[in-house]
Amino acid sequence: MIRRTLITLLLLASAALAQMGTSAGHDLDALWVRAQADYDLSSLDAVLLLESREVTVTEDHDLVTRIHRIVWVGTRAGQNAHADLRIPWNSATSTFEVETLRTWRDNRWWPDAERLSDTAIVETLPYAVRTAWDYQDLRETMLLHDGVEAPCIMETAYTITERGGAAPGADGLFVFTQREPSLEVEFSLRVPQDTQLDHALGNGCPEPMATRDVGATHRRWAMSGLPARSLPMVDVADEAPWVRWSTWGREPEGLARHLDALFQANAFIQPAMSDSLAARLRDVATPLAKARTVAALVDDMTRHAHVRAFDRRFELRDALRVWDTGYADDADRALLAYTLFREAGLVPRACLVGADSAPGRDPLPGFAAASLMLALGHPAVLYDPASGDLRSTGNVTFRTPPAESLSGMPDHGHHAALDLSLTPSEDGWRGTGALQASGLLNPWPDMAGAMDQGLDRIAYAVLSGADADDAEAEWFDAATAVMGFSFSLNAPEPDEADRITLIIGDLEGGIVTHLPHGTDTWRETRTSPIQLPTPMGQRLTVHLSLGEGTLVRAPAPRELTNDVGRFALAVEETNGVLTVTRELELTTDTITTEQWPQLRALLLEEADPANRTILLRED
Amino acid sequence: MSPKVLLTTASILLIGTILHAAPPPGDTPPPTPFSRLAAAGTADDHDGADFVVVFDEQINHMHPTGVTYVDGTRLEKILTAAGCRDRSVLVWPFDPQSSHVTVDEVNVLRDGEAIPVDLTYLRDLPAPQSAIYWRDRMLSLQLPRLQVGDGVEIKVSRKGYTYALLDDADGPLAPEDERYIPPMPGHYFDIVLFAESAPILEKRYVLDLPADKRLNVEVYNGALQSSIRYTDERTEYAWWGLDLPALTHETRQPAASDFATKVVMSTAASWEDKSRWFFDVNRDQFEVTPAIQAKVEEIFAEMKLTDASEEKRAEALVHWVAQNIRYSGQTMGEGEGFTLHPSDMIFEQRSGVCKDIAAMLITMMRAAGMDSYAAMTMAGSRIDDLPADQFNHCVTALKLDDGTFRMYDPTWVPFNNSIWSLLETEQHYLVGTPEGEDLSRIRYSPPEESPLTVDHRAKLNADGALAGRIRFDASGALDGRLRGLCNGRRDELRDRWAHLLAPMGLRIEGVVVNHHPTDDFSKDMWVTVDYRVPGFAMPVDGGLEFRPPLMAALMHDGSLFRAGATGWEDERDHDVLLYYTQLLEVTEVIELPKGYEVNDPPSVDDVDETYAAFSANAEIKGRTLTLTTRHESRRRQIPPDGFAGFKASVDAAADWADVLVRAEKGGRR
Repeated sequence: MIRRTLITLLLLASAALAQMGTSAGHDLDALWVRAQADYDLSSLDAVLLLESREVTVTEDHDLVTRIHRIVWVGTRAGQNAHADLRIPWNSATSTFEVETLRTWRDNRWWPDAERLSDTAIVETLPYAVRTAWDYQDLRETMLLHDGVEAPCIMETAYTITERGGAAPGADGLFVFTQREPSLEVEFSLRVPQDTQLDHALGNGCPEPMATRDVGATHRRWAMSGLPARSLPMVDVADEAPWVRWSTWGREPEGLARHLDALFQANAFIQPAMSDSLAARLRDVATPLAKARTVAALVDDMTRHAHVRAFDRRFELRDALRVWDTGYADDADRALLAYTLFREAGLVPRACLVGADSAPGRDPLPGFAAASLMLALGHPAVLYDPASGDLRSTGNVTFRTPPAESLSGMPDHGHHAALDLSLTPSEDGWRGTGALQASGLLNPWPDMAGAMDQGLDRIAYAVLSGADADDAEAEWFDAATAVMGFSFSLNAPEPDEADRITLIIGDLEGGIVTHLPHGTDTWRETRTSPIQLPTPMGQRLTVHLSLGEGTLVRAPAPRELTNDVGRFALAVEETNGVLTVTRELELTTDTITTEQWPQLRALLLEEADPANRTILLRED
Repeated sequence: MSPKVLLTTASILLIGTILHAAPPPGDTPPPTPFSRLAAAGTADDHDGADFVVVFDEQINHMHPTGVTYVDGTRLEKILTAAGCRDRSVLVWPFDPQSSHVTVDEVNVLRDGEAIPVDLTYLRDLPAPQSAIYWRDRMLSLQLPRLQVGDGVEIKVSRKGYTYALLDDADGPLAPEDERYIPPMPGHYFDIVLFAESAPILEKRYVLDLPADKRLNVEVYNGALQSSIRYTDERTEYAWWGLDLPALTHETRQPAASDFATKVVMSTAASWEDKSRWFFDVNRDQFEVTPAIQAKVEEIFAEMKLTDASEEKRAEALVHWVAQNIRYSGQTMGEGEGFTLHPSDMIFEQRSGVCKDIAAMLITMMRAAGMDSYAAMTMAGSRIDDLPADQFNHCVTALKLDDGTFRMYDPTWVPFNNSIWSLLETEQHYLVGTPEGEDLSRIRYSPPEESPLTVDHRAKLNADGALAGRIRFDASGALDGRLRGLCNGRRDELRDRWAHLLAPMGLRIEGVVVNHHPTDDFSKDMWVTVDYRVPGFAMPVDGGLEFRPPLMAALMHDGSLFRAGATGWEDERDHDVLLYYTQLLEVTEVIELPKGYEVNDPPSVDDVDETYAAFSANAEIKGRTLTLTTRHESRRRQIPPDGFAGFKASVDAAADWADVLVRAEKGGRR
């Protein structure tokens, strides 16, 4: 305490020599003194002294966003993150104004305190739209800090005004925790008094501070002394405090109507489109196979312009234009698919689907932290324009329309069981397989209309080199699948010790496939939680008839049960048949940081070569 | 004019028309865009290409000042649905400081008709930019939905340093065109590749020079047809190629200019001329301001180098510049692209591109009393011996007492303890001096100058767990690689190394990383990693089986073992460009559990080829197993005929990483 006080006094004394001054009401010198007292700067790349976002909806429905950031950087990594900023905006609908762009080093500002460098603000075109003419109103303005030499403090303030950006509604998400530790983080929201403003809070975000504005509703949140984002960073910080806000109203119907109207108004079709579709649908019978055909046609006919949907706020071009230009962003791909689905006799419905993580699960309608998808059929399957895939609804959160109108899939849980039997043949083995799967682990969306290839992939993933044939489905729909197949497997080359190695691999489309990005088993610890899409279970059984071979090694039976699930490996040899059953069950969908070692332990057992390897010697 | 003359003239015209309409049997009429399109074939005729360049012609008229006016005509044929999708927007990038582009005409040729594209929809936009922010622009035009078989005919004129189009090429220069006078006034140069990502059926390049201009020219990497014609006022050179295949891409190949057929041309007489020009054009950029002088003295004082040798002080300066002038280029307006920014501008901005970073070092060296100069080089590519502007990079040359130059590259040595990156060896360079210099070349660097030495001491437990410490020592090119692995976000360091070592076993834990400070260039870089991998060895039949632990990790990491971690093709058409040579020496000393022995130490055959070598050995002494590995990548660039030997060395390393080691309890079974 005494040390901290002394440091503070010393720093105050030295700060008196040269003053950064105030900026937009913030005392920069005081912030810097606090940062030096509160953080061990020698161990950090950067510290945010201030991160502020002010959002204002005007009477004219303009959406005005002001960003103000003051950051200390101490290393090249910190410099790389903050010295050159790339700011996206839309020049057709918005204005972009830079207020402050300067660096404090050696007791002075670079450039001079009130000056904006002529060459440090550079308007550029996003690479993603270089050959997408219709999207070339989008801009990325570079803000280049002069005078940066670590350590230094950089200040940036700019405002983007979207003309009419808040009509017919607006919404957003603000996550308080930043990549760097942060001294002060502020978020403020101001809307006209007659505009309904709703908000939802998560992960310890405080209630807004009361402020008085004439003719306006004004809410302001502020947090101090926040740690850096937890690692590895997930899409939306589950543990980070957040605010979601919306002027769409509490009920999702308003936003749903807006979406419906947008899609219906733009779903034009022309003969070239219907002819191309008709040619592809000639031998396609089932609704799902038709949907896959449409998805493939969209992929083939449009280059994917990877523009952040936010930049265009889901403005749609009309479907004819999308077709004619030959490129599309996610929203326009969805529109083209919507138009072609309808032409194929399907009934698509545009919807917003919440991300799997916490801010996506609050009930507030809105575009933020959501993905635009198309729901098809009952029970529903989702078309994801970002990937071009069809997927099961799983237990995603519908922002609009209401979940019950779409996700009517009967809940059979999310399980998969694959059973393979191998008997020796002339070149290796012949085998039969049986797959039962439900929910998220059901391969139906991926395999409908292409079952042979799908089963081939499944057989190959479990036993490298396996080649499936003679597939047959007993039951195959969006909820469950029961199917059988046969396959062949050539014997691998023997190793130095004249042994043949069989490795029981992964279950294609199984649990590991559905783990979120960043679930890396080599991480001994992590500071971010994991949000699984759902609890899941899988079982993989291999019956290996040994014939005249001698078993040199088989996995050893083992079982591990903990708070997040269970792994079990059963091994049995009966009448010359070795049976290995590997089971993995995850019983919860939210894995806390503290629970990571338990999930990791289960996943390591599942991946351990010792639990997968069978060695045989031919006699 | 009399009626008789008129009649005669009409008769001649009529005869001419008849002759033109009916060529003699066997003769081919002159091609038209439609006839070219019809003859261009389908995707099947072009290895499935999505489009083919049917005709590409560029006619360059050079004004005596050096401003060049260019007529460009290009005809593409769309061959597939993907071609229709991917060629739907045309883009023309340009730098408004030095060139101007006019799109004269764009037509879609379909079913014998030319459908004009409305050029009022042409957009003039800021170009996408990254790291170099010189406000480049581009023109962009949307085409109507294309169909397979369509032709796209494009007519463009340009003017600028090397390009433009005007009939009166010798007339007075329009005042607005003075900005396009090239950096070397009155001179012309170009490097023209006769290849691109699509096949080309015919490409022509024509250069129309004033008669008093003399041209150095050579065709490289293949053959082209050519002609020279002259009048009293002009000389016209032409080169053309027919049926040119699309460029193919192979892993880690050099730039296309190293292997694609190209014409290099220049009116500069010699490298010495070029050297003098480069010196002159930049002579005023290196003013030592009081602030710069003070900074230089501060650096020397802090490092106690005030009275040190020139070499030591220069080394301190190159590292200061490399660490503190970040690569981010703002524009200086007129002169951008070939003039180094004035040093006070760079010093204030603390940023720039290679030429500006080099300029900062030149100025600081001069502030310290050193005789420094700017130099040009071609990073990653060959310079052919013809004095054209075959340069993409700028560096610093320090003139020594004996008249030779020592080269410094501050742009390529951030977090690297070299003064010149060993990723740039065997590279040509040209120093700008008042006397004029010849083209020079950086010497070859043998693998011994870029070693990565890995010492791994580990203990294997009876339960299969492996625990140990790995020490990495690196020098030369590998010094920078190793620093790079420690130089990212501080809170991600441990995870970065756990990920790197994960191929040893996903159960890796207890990772502790220590390293030499990445910004201390007084010593070579070293890193130690302590770790533990439970279940590393697999219990089999009463023994423990495993593979050389560290080799699995090295064969996956391109920073530590580029040759080994790259997925190579079986055969190559193009060179391999590794950028640097490397010596990898790995010693793994593994103490086996009590009572265990290795009876049959593994082995693989040595490989000793021209461009690479590999050897490995396993020795057992009591319970101590020692695995040694040595790989040499002997050249930074390997030609196709040396690839098989190079790959044999890498394959041997992969085999060694996969050998089975069996530790038997109680010795031989």
